[in-house]
Amino acid sequence: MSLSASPERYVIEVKDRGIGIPAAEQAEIFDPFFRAFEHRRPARAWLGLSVVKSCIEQHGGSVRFTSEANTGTTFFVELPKSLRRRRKARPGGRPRWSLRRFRATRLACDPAARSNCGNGCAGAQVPAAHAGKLRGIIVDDDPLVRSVLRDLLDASNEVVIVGEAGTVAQARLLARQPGPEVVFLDVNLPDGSGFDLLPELKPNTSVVFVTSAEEYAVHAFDCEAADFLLKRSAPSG
Amino acid sequence: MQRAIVRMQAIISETLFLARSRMQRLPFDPGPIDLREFCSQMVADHEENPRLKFQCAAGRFPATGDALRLRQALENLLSNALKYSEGRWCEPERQP
Repeated sequence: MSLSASPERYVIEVKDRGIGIPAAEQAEIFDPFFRAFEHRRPARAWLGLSVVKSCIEQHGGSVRFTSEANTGTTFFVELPKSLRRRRKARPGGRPRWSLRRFRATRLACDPAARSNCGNGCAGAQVPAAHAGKLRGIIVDDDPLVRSVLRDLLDASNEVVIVGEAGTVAQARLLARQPGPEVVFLDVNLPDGSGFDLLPELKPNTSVVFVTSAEEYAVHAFDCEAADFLLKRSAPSG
Repeated sequence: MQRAIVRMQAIISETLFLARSRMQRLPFDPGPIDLREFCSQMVADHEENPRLKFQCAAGRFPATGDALRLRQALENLLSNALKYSEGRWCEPERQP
């Protein structure tokens, strides 16, 4: 470990002569779900680096690293000499960029933009020119995923979430009520598959699949999914 | 479609990460810290690992930070470095 100073910042170096981080994994080590890959290579998982990043960024600093297989890894933690106060937490803690990005996602599956989409999306039906907000429901057994999606959708001002369900059975009840116009649907649910819900939905309902399993994509678009969001290796799909 | 999936993968994982940070409501309580003292204390706390060394120019390194959170971050980096260089030597180098 070493500490040095430049005119504006301090640099803390943590260097090892270890096994290095495989090139293929370097892009994702700060990913909060990187741990999900532990089962694949238990000895090599670098744990908790997303937390490191979060801690350092709170200080207005940054973390980067260089690594070479079997030579070692060096992390550089840069901290400003004077703490620049970050913008006060936004109301509800919602980062501004996430809204912008989510809008981009929506545009990508907008019918007007669909001609660029090439394959898969052709049969999708998103009632894009809806005057009011779309009524949506979220079906996912992970409360965290539901909460994140709800936040994003609230921010988008395009969808109002009228219900959440953690199981196919709960989702069926929701679908029977004044029908949702858009359903954010997980595939692996405790009591069945998200696909089981499709026959229960009204014909003009849009379905956005939210799943960690890529192999469902083709089937989803066969079912005229409006979009397909992939969760990164959440343990319980 | 593959490209769209990759892009959405990134969006979802980032938002989940932010949500986790937010749900944990990690407090941030900054105060004055001398980074030199701070780092050398951390290295001293790892006396069972003589391979770990600390290198720093003389003088003071005054900063403002949350000691708890900084320690959390640096401890993580140190323990990873020690864990993954098991059986090898671990030595600091000068900042270029």
